[in-house]
Amino acid sequence: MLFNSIDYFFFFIACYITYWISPSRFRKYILIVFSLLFYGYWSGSFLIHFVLFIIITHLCVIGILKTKRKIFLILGVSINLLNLCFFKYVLTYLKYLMSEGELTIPFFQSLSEFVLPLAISFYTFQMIAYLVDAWRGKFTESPFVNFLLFILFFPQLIAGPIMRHDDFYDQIDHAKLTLDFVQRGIFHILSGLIKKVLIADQIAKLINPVYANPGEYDGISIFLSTFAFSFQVYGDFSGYTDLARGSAFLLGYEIPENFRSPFLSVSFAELWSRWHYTLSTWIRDYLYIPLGGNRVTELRYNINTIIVMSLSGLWHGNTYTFFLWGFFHGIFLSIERFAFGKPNRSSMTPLKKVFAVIWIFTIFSILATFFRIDTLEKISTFWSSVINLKGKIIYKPDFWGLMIGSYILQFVEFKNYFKEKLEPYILWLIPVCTILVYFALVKIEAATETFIYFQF
Amino acid sequence: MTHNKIYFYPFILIFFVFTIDKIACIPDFREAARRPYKSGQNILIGFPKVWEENKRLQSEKINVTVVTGSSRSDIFHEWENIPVNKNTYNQPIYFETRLALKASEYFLYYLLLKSMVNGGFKPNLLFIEFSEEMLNENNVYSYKTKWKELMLTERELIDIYPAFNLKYKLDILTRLLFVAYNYHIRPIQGISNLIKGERAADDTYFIALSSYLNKKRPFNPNNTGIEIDNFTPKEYEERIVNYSRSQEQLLLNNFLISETEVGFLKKIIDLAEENNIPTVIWEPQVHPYYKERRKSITGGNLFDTISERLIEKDSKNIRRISLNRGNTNCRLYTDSSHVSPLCVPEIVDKLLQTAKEIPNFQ
Repeated sequence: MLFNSIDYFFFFIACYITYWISPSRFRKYILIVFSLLFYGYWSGSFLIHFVLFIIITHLCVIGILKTKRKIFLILGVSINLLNLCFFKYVLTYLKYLMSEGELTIPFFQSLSEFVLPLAISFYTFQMIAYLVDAWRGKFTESPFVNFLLFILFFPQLIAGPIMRHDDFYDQIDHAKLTLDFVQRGIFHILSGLIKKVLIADQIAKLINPVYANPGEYDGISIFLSTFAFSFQVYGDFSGYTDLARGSAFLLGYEIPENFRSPFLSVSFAELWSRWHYTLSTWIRDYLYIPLGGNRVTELRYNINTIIVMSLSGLWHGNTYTFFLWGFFHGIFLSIERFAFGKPNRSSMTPLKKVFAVIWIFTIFSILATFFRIDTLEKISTFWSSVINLKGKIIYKPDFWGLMIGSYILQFVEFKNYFKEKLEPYILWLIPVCTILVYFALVKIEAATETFIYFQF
Repeated sequence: MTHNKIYFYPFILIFFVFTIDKIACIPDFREAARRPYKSGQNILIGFPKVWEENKRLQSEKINVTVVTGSSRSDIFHEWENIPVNKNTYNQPIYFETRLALKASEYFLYYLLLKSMVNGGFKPNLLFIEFSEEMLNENNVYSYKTKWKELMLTERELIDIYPAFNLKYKLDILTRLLFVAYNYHIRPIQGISNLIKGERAADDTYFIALSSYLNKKRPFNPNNTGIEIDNFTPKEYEERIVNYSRSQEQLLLNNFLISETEVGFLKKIIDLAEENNIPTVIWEPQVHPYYKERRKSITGGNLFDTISERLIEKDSKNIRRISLNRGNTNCRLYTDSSHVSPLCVPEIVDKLLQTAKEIPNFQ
C-alpha cells in the first residue's frame, strides 16, 4: 500500500478514527493490528514470515537480557542476516542461474514467483540494532508488545526511517495529539506529496525513456538526466519519509528525520550526515565503531570507510553496481579526508561553498548511475551517449521547472527559515496549501509510481 | 483550539477540500476545466450516433445484430455484407460490427452495451465473444488500462461500482466524493475557458475515430490467411510459434482469473436478460498450436465453467457455443490467434443456428 495511494488514504482514516476513539490503553494494540493489516495487504504469507522473525528475535533478546550470554546475540544477529542474505542475495543468484538455464533445482521450480519480502532490509537492521542495544545494556526489559509495535509501526515499516528503541519506546503509552503535532503532521504529508508525486514521479516520466534508450538522446540530455535522477531519488525517498513522519505525527508519535537538504552539502562527510541519516548513523554505531571507528591508523580508517560504504551499497541492492556505488563513495570520502581533513562549512567563503556544493552534487549524480543501472555494460552504453551531438532532448521548460522546484525544496529544508516567519499565519496557511496541493495532484492522470526504496 | 477539537482538525480540512471541490460539480465549470477526452472516451461518446443509425435500420424492417468482441471478432467488420445462409435465417439482417474492438474486454463492452440500452436501442440479436485471455487479471489490455483512460460520469460510476474489486471500489468512492479528481480539474484552465466562453479542448481522435467507426473495412483478398497445412516453416515460425509467444506474454502473462472481468460479463448477461435481448455467447476458434499452449496455462475449460455459472439454465434470452472444438470447417488462419475473415460466413451461420434455439429470438 503506497502512502500516496487512495487505499492508504482510506486505511489511514480508518486507523485514525479507531485509534483515537479507543481508550488509551488499547491504542498500541490497535496500531499493531493496523500495522499487520498494512503489511498483510501486500502479502499474507510474508506477513507470517515477518512475524516469525520478530518472535525469534525477541526470544534472543530475552535470552540476552536474562542470561547475558553472547550466544543469543550471535544467534539473533546471524538469523536476521541469514534471512536477509537468503532473500536478497542467494535467492536472487539462484533465480539468475535458473533463468540462464545453468541450474535446475526441482524444489525451486517456482522460484521465479518468489519476491523480496517487503521492507526486509529495513526491519533486519532495526532488529539487529535492538539485539546489539540489548547486549550493550541500553535497556533491561523488553515487553513483547512494545517490541512488536516498534518493528511493525506502519508509518515507518516499509522504508524507514530506521528507528532505535530509544527513538520510540518512551512514546508508547504516552502518545498524544497536540495542535503542533497535527499541524506538523499535515505539513509533512503535504511536503511528502509534493516531493513524491509532483517532483519525483514527474522527473521519472522525463528521464525513464532516457535511461531506457540513451542512444536516442543528445549528450546534454544524458548528462542532465543524471542530475535529475538524483533529485528523483531524493524526492522519492525524502517524500516517503515526510509522509511517514506526517502519518506518525497524526498518531501522536514523532519519528526521526532522514534528510536535511543533502544537495547543499559542501563535503561528502556532510552529505552522508544529510542523506538517509538514520542509515548513516546505524552504520556508524553498529558497523563502523565496532571496526575501530576513529581510534585507528589513517590507513585503517580509510579502509574501514571504504568497507562500510561498500556494504552500505550492497544493503541497497543485490547487484555489483550497488556495491560499486558504495565503494566509490567510500573512495571519495577517503580522498576528501586525505586532502581536506574535515571540511568545515562555517570557515568557507560563499564562493567556495557554491563550488563545493556543485562539486559534491555533480559527483553524487555521476555515481548515481551505478545506483540506477544494473550492469557495467549498460552504464558504459549510457555514458558513451554523452558524446551524441544530436538526438531527442529533455531540457524543455517542464524539466527546468522540476529542477528549480527541487532546489527550492532543498533551500526550504536547509534554512528552516519559513518555520519562524510563517508560524503566525499557520492557521490559514494549512488550508491554502492543502487546496493548492489538492488541485496540483488531481491534475495528474497517470498511476502512481512505486517508491524506489521499497525494493530495499 | 480545545483539545477535543484537535482530533477533528484533519477532518475539517478534508471537509474544506470537499467543499471547494464541489465547485467542480457545476457543469459549466467542469466542462471548461476538465482534462480533454481521450480516444477510449471517444468510443463511448461516439456510440449514441451509432445506436441512432441502427434504430433507423430497424424502422426499415432490417434486423440488427450487434457484434461485440476483440480482434477475433474484428473480422466481422471486414465484410461489407456478410452472406447469410437463407436456410438458417431468411430475413434481412445487418451486422453492427463497430463494437468489435481490438484489445477490448468486458468492462468496455458493458459500458458500450449500457449506452446502447440507455440510448433506447434494442438489437434483434447480440453476439458476445468469450475468449479466455479477456478474463486474465494480468492481461496488458485488461479493464485496468481502460480505467486509466476513461472519465466516467457519476451515474456510470455508481452503476459499475458493484462489479469492481475493493481497490477500484475505493477509487470510485473517491471519484464520487471528490469530483475534481474524477475529471482531473485544472482550475486556471477552467477560469480562463469560462471567461472566453470555451470548453475543454478534446483530443481530435473523435473525428478520426468516428469516420473509422462508420466504415466497414473489407479485407484484402490477397491476404486472407494460410490453410492450416500450408504454412511454410518460416511462416509457421513467425505466425504461429512466435505470435503465440507474444500472445502469451501480453495476454496470458501470470494468468489469474479476474473477478472484475467475470463481474462485468455477469453484468452484460444481466443486462441482456433484463432487456430481453437475444444473445449468443461464443468462443472463437484459434490455431491448435496456440490452443494447446493456452490450455496449459488456463486449463482450457473456462468457457464451460464460467458461462455455465453465469447463465441461467432455463434462460429465455441466452445461448452459448464454442467454435474451438473442431466443429467448424474453417482451416484458414492469419496467425495462431485469428482465423481468416473468409471463415466469417460459416461462423455467422453457426451463431445464427445457435440463436434459433433462443425462445425470445424471432
